[in-house]
Amino acid sequence: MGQEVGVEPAELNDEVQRAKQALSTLNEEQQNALRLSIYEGFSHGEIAKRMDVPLGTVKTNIRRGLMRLRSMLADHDNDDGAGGDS
Amino acid sequence: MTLHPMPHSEELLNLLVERATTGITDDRQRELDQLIANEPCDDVGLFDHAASLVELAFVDQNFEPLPAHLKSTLLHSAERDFGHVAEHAPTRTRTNTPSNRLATKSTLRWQFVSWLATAAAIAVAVAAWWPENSPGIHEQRTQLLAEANDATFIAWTATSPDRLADVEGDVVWSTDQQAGFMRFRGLPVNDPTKSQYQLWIVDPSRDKHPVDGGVFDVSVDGELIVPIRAKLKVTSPQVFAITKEQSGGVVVSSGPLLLVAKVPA
Repeated sequence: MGQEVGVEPAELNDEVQRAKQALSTLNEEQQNALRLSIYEGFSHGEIAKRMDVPLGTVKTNIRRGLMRLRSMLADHDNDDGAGGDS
Repeated sequence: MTLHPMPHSEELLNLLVERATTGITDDRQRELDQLIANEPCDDVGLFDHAASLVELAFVDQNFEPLPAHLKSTLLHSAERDFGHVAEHAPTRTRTNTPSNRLATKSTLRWQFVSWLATAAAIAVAVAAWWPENSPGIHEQRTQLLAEANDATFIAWTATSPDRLADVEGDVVWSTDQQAGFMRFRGLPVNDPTKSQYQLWIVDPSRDKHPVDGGVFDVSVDGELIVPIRAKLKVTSPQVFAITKEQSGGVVVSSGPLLLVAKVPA
């Protein structure tokens, strides 16, 4: 399975809570696009159709949202002095 | 966490995002391989972890509010049973699910995610009798979104920055099926003996008066999904609006307009 990274349930739960907090800082379009693609399982094309926006807008919203989340989660880890994830 | 630099190629970035969110087909994987051959990428899974956490965040959010004691019990069970729940892992049709993404990073995370899915299943059972949301309503809403070709998805907007500005949610509506769902998070609890929320559907193609979409109550904090029960056929909805009216609802609105969801032109 490759390198094992020790993560306790409580630690993962903390990560999820941080992700929720980070999600709340995204704008509504980004949140909706991430929810529809990741949680509801729609393709980017389906999301564009259902939200009546260009496909490029959906892709941009998802990409910017993920980049911001990734950066915020990494910032928090660095503040805590945590490491090990790659 | 070490952040690898972002690739410069727009197409490569798009493929990595697609891989992390919805998964990619074999053809797209070949495109990805080709792009990586041209522009080496330090971490093809650079969005995977964030995407996995986003899914778990939505799972967690979607099953709130769990009673505090139940949530505590579930978390306690997770710690107790950690490592013994993988056999309950759900099957997914997508090849690159967040659970799989986590699994490739860590068996322990996979086990926890599996447990979380089990906990979520328990939460579904709890939600089934939870008085706030009707049984299976989340699935019904998702099904409508997936199956109705004309399904519209619109976010609620508060009518005033000073009132209900923190309320989140959306409307899903299918004119073909004459069915829809409203979703709210943060809408204040009402006392149904004094007032109720009422939905109005503005459809100028049929009448100058909005169609009564029914009344509903909010009895607990957390996410609420309400089916739309339009009293008349709606053919070309332009705006969905929420007002607060006297108990039982009214024929002509006299209450404050609280939230609107405007259908894109």
